[in-house]
Amino acid sequence: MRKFFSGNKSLSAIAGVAIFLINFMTISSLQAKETFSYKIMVQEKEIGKMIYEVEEENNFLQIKSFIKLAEEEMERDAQLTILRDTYEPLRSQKWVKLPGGEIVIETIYEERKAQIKITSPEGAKEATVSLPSPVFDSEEIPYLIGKPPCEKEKVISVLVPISGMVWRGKIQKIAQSEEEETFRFTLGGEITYLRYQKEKPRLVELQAPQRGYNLVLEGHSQEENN
Amino acid sequence: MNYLWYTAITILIAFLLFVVLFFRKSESPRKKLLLYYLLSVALPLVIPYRWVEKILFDYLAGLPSALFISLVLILIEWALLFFLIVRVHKKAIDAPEEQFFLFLLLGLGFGMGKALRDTLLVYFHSLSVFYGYSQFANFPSFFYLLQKIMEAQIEVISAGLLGLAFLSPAGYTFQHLVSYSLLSFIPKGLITIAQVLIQFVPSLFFLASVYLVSLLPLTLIIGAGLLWYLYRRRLYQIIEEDETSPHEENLKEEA
Repeated sequence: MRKFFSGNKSLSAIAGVAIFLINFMTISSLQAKETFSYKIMVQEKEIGKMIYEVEEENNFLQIKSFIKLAEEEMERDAQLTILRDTYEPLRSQKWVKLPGGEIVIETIYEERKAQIKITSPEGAKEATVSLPSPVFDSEEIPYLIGKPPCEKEKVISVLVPISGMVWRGKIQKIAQSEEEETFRFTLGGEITYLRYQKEKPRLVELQAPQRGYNLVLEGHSQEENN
Repeated sequence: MNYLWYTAITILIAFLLFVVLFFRKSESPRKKLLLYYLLSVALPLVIPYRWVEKILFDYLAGLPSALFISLVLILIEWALLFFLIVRVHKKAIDAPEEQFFLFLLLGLGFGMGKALRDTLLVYFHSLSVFYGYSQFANFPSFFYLLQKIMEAQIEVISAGLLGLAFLSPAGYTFQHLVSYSLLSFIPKGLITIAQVLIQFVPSLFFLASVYLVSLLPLTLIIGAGLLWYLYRRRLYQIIEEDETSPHEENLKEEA
């Protein structure tokens, strides 16, 4: 043992470990943050803005969305933590403002089940829902669709936490050009059209005809921190 | 728990009021009436046809599909009502008025059963606050109960219209059944179409605010008027048939 820790060999081994550790620590603390700003359009008029912040840390992605309507203040909309490689959700939170007060829906994903907690002015309710695998959170849909490979058609399971139910989501690629591709996504009887930038999948436009609004990409910024 | 009690008491009061109003002088045993009523309350609870909607919505999307799915649900409801009416009609009560009121009672029970089912789904779902996919299943309020009572009355009208097909001393004919079935679709169909349009056509979202105060009561008033008119017409036909049939028999005997 003493022999091992003496001489050039041991020195280079220690140096190697040190370099590996420094590299590993540098990589693990690398953070990238992207911000997407969308115009909310209703009947071709802008009624507000939707901001998505996507932060990358280690193997996770944290997606935060904010909503700003007309002259009201910016309000938080949802927050999600998903796995970077598989896009499977780990945790989601959604804030819904209603005349009677604010409702917070929090979902924690575990192996084949999810714990949903709804907090409203009337109190809190909790439930455990069984899940198929893989399953995605309804809040990550705008971020998710253009990411996994989809040649023509793909079916995914989507948990809509507010309803406590798993729905069948269907993704269909309906058009593509050199720069962009358009998908038709159906969930719970509703149709949404999503147009993505192809090179680095990024949502350019979302059309929700049955909800009566469109989201149009207005600006994008990216920052990287060590 | 309170809301379950409210609904259960409302269901019982609805039955008692109905019996007091329409079966006060009847000789039909009250136990039998209660049994028919409970059967019609239980049917929408036991048959999971609401899940058909969920399953179909997993595979179909958009306004035409939503209209189609609603049509399927109305057809299932029609089949259930038809089953109830046929069951009761076989154990015939002679007086046509009483038969008609019995059909109305079945409709009331069916509507109350649907209300109870929705209440169970909304308030006793583990997440309670929202059940989710129907915007008509929302918050516990006086308006919710009012809406459910009015929707139950729409079922009364539908059952009445369907029941008219069976109100004939000579038995019901296929033509009667088809025409009265189509009529019985109208009030339910109008309300369902309104619900689908409000949910799927953004320019009609504003109708959601007038659904309870104008669309439902208007359908109820027009439906009740139509039912009353057709019932009176049918009664006159029955009286005429009763009056002419002995005369015809006499003529046959003479011949």
